[in-house]
Amino acid sequence: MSINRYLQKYRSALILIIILILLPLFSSEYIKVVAMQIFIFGVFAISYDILLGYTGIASFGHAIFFGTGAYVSALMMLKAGFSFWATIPFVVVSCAGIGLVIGLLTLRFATIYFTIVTLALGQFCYFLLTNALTYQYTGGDDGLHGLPMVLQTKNQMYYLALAFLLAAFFIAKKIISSPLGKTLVAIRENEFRAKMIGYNVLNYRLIALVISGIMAGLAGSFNAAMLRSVFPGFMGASTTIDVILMTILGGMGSLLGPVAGAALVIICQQYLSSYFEWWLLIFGVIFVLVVLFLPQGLISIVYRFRKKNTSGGLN
Amino acid sequence: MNILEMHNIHTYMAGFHILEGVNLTAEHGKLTILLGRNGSGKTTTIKTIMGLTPARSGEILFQGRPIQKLHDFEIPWLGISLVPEGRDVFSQLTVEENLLIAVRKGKKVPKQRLDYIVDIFPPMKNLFKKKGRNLSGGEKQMVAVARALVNEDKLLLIDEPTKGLAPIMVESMRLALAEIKKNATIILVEQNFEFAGSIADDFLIMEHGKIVCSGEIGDLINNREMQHMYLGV
Amino acid sequence: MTSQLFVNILLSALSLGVIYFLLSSGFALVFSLLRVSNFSHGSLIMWGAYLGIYLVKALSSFSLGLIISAVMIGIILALVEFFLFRRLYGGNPLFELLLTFGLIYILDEAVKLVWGAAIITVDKPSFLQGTVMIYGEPFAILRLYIFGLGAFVCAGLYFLLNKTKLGLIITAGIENKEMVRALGININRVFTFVCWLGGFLAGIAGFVLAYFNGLSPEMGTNQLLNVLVIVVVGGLGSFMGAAIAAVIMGLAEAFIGFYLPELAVLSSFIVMFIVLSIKPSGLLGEE
Ligand SMILES: Nc1ncnc2c1ncn2[C@@H]1O[C@H](COP(=O)(O)OP(=O)(O)O)[C@@H](O)[C@H]1O
Ligand SMILES: [Mg+2]
Repeated sequence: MSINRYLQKYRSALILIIILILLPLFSSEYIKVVAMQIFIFGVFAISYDILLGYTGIASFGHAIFFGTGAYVSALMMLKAGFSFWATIPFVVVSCAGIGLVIGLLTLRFATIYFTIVTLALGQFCYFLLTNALTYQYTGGDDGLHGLPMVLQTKNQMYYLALAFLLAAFFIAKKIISSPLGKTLVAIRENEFRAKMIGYNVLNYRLIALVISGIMAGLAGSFNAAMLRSVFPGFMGASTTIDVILMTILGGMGSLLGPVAGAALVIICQQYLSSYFEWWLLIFGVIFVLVVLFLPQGLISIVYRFRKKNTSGGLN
Repeated sequence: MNILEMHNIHTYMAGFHILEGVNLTAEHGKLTILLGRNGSGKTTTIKTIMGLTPARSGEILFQGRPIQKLHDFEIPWLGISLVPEGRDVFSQLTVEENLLIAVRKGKKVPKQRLDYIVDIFPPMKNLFKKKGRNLSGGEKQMVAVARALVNEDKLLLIDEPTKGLAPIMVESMRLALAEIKKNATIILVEQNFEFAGSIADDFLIMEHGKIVCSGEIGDLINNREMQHMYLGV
Repeated sequence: MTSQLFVNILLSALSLGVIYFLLSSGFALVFSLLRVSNFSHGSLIMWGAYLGIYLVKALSSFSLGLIISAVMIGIILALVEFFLFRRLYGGNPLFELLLTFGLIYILDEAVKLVWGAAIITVDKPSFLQGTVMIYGEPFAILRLYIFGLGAFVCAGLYFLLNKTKLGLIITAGIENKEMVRALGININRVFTFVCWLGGFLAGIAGFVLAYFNGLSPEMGTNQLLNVLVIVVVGGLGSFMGAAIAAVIMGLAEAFIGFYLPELAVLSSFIVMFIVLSIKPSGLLGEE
C-alpha cells in the first residue's frame, strides 16, 4: 500500500492521535488528568472487550485483575523498593495466574458460572482488601499512597498513558486478527460447530481470559502509577460496573467502541454527575436500550454514518 | 389423499443451511419411512414439521392447510404428535405425569386411551409410578411413544425409535407400530432398513438435506442397487 | 459452649437459612426455567422491602402490605419478561444477562428517587416484638415468624410444583423446553408466570429483610451477591440445591460469626470456595 493510500485510510485516526499528542500544550491540568484516566480505562475496556465482545463470556469481576495489577505494583514499590517497571513482570504473572485458576474452575461449565463466580470473587477480594486482618499491608479503606513518580512531569506521564493505550490497541488488534482471534469469534458464534470441528473450546477461552486479565492488570498498575495511590475501589464492583458500561455503551466486539465508551463514561462521571442526581438512572435506561436495540453499541451509529458518507473507515 | 406435503422447504440452524429444498408427501393412513444416512437432515425435517426448527421458506400442508407459519405449540393441536429422537421422557416426572402433561384437552388421560396404550405396550402397566430417570432405554422408548398416543392424533412423527434398543425390544416396537398404524398415519425415521421395510408402506430417502428418492416400499425392497447407493446396505 | 447456647445459635442459623432461602428461591426458579440469570433480583428484593414497608404504613395493615407488595414486585418482573426478555430469547444469552444488569441501575436509582438515599429504620409491629423462651434462652419472635413464613412458602412451592399440572409443566420445562413445546404447550406464558412468581418471592424476601435489617439503597446489590453465592453453591439450575445451600450458608454465617467474628462477612465466600473446589458444579448441579 502506498503511503498516500495509507494516510487516506487512517486519516481520522491520525488526526485524532495528533490532537491527543498536542492536547497537553493547550489544556489545563484537570483535562490532562481526565484524559489520562480515559486512556487507562480505555485499555481496561479493551481488555474487557477481548473477553466479552470477542470471546462471548461476561466477567462480572473484571476489577479483580485491575485491582491486582494496581496493588501488586503499589505494594512492591512501597514495601520492597521496586521500580515501577520492575513490578510489571510480577503483575503479568499474578494476573495470568488468577485468570488460569478462575478459568480452570469455572469455564468447564456454562459461561454463566464464570460470570457469577467472578462477581463473587471480586467482592471477596474487595472485602479482603478492606478487612482488619490485611489492614497493615493494604491500608484498608484508605488505600496506599505516596507511590514514587515513574516519570518527572505530568506531561511525560500523559504521553506514557497515551502510548500505553495505543500500544494496547494495536496489540489487541493483532490478537483479534490472528488465527487465535478468529477462532475465538468462531467459538462465540457457534460453540456446537467449533466443538464438532475439533477445537478445544475450554483452552481457547482460557487463553482469552489470561490475555484479557494481563491487559486489565497492566491497566490497573498504570492507574496506580498515574495516581500514585491505590484504593480498594479499584478492586470493587463499581470498577467492574464502569468497565461493563464502557464496553457495552461504546460497542462490544469493536475495540474502538470500548475506548470511546471509556471516554463517554468518564466524561459523564466528571461533568454530569454534579448536575443531575439521577444521571445514573438515565445511564441505566440508555444501557438497557443499547442492549435491546443497538447491540453493537453507540459506535455503530458512527460507523453507519461513515459508511453512508465516505468509503473506508477507521477499521 | 395426502395428509402431509412439504414443498421446497429450506431450514437453517445456527446459520447453516440444513434442509435445502425438501419436497415430500405422506399419504393418509399409511406408514411412510424416512431413510437416509446420519446427518442427512431427517431429524431436522421432523422438527421443521413440528415448527421446532421453523422453515425459512417453502410450504408445509397438513390436510391441505398451510402450517409453516404457525407457532411450534400450535401445531400439535392440529392432531400431530412427536416421538423425538432422544425420547425426551421427562426424568423428574413419573410415567403417569409424562402422559398427563401431554393431554391437550381435559384434566387426565382418558380411560379408553390408557387401555389402548396398555394394550399396545403391556409392560407399561407396571411403570406408571416410576420416575422417568429410573426407566431403562427400552422403557423410555415405550413411554415416549405412549405419550404420543394419549390424544388420538391423526399424524405421528416417530424419530428412530429403535436406536440403541436390544433386538427383543426392537421386535416388540415393530409389533406396537404395526398396531398403532391401524389408527393413525405415521412418518417414521429409521436407519434400520430391515425393521422399517417390514412395516412400511412408502419410503422417502434423504441425502444432504433433500429428498432424493421416494416410492412404495416394495420397489425399494426389490431394488438392491438403490439400497446400496443411498443406504449403504 | 453450653448446649443452651448451641441451640440458640443453631436456631438463629436456621432462621438465617430460611431468609436466604426466601432471598434465593425466586432467582433459582427463574433461572432454572428460563435460563436467565436475573441480576436485577437483588433490586427487586429491595423494591419489595421499600414498597412493603410503605404499604404497611399506608394501609396500616401488616399482611395486606406484605401481600400487595409481593404481588406487585411479581408484576414488575412479569412485565420485564413480557416486554424485554422476550425480545432476546433464542439469541446470545449474554444479552439477557446484560439487560438484567442494566435493570439494576434503573431499579436502584428509582428507589433512591422515590424514598431517598438515607438508611431507614423499620419499627416492628407489636406482635413481632419481644422474645419467647426456648430451651431456657430468649428467642426473638421475629425469627419464629420467619420460620413460619418460610415453611408456608416452602409448602406452597412444593404444592405448586408437584401437585398441579402447571407445576408439572414447569418441572418438565426446566429439563427440556423443546419437548414441552412439542406437546402443544405455550411455554412463553409459563415463563411469564414463573417470572411473576420469582418476583413475588423476591417481594416476600425483601419484606422480611426490611424488618431484620432496615432499609438502605445498597441492600439490593448486597443481597444479589448473597443470592448468587447461594445458587452457585447449590448448583445452578437446581432449585433443591439452592434451598440446601441457603441453610448451609445460614449455619456457616452464624457459627463462623460466633467463633471468628472478623471473618463473618467472608463466611459465604469461604463456603463457596470449599464447595466449588470439591464439586465445581455445586452441590446438586449437573456436571
Ligand atoms: N445446532 C446445530 N447447529 C448446526 N448444525 C447442526 C445443528 N444440529 C444439527 N446440525 C447439522 O444438521 C445436519 C442434519 O442433522 P439431522 O437432521 O440431525 O440429521 P439426521 O437426523 O438425518 O441424522 C447435520 O449435518 C448436523 O451436523
Ligand atoms: Mg436424526
